[in-house]
Amino acid sequence: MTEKEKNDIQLTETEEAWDEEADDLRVKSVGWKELYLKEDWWAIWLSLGLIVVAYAFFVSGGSIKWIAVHPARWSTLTQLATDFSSHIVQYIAQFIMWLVVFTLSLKVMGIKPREFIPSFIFVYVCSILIFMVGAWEHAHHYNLEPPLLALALGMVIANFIGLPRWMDAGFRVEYYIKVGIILLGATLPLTLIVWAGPVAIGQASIVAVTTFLVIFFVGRRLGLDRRLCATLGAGGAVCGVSGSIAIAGAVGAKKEHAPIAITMVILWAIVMIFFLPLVSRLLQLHTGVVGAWVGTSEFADAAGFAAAQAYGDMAANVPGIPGSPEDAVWGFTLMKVVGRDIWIGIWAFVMAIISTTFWDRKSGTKPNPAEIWWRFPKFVLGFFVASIIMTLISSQYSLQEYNEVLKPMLVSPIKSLRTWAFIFCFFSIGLTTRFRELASAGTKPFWAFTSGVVANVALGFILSSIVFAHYWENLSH
Amino acid sequence: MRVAPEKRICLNCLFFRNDPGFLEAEFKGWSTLGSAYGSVRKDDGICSRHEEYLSAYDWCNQFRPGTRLERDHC
Repeated sequence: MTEKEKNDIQLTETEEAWDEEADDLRVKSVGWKELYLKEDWWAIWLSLGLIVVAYAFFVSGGSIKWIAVHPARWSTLTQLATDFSSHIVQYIAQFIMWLVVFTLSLKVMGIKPREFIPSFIFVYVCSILIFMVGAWEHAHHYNLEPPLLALALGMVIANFIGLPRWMDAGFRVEYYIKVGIILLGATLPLTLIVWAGPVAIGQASIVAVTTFLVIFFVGRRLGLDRRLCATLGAGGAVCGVSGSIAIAGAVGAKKEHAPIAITMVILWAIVMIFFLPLVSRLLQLHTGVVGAWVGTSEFADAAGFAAAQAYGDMAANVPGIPGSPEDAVWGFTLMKVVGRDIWIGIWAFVMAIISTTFWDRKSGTKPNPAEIWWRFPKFVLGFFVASIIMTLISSQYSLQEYNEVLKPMLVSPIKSLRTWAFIFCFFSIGLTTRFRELASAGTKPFWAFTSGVVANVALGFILSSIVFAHYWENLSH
Repeated sequence: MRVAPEKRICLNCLFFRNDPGFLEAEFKGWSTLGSAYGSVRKDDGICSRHEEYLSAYDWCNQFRPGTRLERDHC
């Protein structure tokens, strides 16, 4: 058979043949199978399961606080050692809990347990150490907030020591952050979402559209392919890597476009994790304002949570910063998750229409509105459901009962588990940030994206700290 | 029997690769602040013929059936 014949399109087999054998690297349409094949849904099952179990313990007179252990604040190594040794069984039990639920769920998604298990052991042991350092009473003097420490330690290991590639199986940044966000929903009153959600959506929309247009038109001005411009623009405007990838697929980007956008997002996201909290600290901004600013101007959920939580930790320890640590995380969540993430399907749908209608694509199919649902980041649903569940539970108690009973027995343990999930995430970000492996972006994409960063950060600051400051400074009320 | 036109999409094409593990390995850095296992990717993947990242429901006139059975017959 000649090469030409081999390349000729063969359409002679029966339709039944399609399902007989599948190529190893091709997955048939997921559709509703995403209920068990996508990590968004697994994050929902896992997190809501934890909340339900926690509530079941609570109504039966108990609490999950035994397993939601974390290092207590310490000032001497003796204190630290005593605290750890007296809770060692609880740490082991918690480790087994995380290991079992993550291993089983990831196995269903196609990640091998023999790679995940040793990798997660490493993540968990390091997370205990990070948590311990963060609990040191002088940690804030050295900027050793757990998110920043986890990130920095991970990057040092990844870039100066190196780990085997198979260990990436345990560094599931997005899975951990989605679990953390849904657990966070359980500590965020629904009334707050209803009150501040429209403001978040309005502010996020202004900044997202502006950022996208700046990157797109600067990129076009620099002579970049419009598919690359759209991919870069979505990375800066919508939700970082996930936004870039979704838009790349929607517009049929060249294979090299997505890695360029990924490089840009990672570099600027890492810079912003350190830049935004430190500048905010210098300006002594309110934690709620900073949360909103980070939510507007960070490029990824995981990176944003690192920045928001780091600033919240600073506020808890540094005199002069107004607002509570929770305000930073709440402000960020409202802005990023409620204000920005939910629009990704609509962005993809609109860009697919534009690319197939106006960009002379040789391939492509007419976009289907169902695209909006299938690309919707489903973990956001879990976040809302968790908030509704906890709001309904809380409504049955007076404020005094809430503070004396519900909070220590139910809310605080969930918050502790959330913090663990975030530390797994922040450490994993560092461990997977291998600067040498990132695609070379080139100067034109760099300047296009950077112009969007400048517009985004400036506009985000003005809207968060001036225009809508009243909302973000009053989240706790 | 010919393949129905509506089935001639990337999802069923020999050149299409959308396994999440493969995609994360191909796009270095994806798993740092994202995930190929998330809902937002839907079924998107890489066309090794055109070197493009595409929706699984795109199509082109170079479609080629994707099962091993059919490749053996080529």
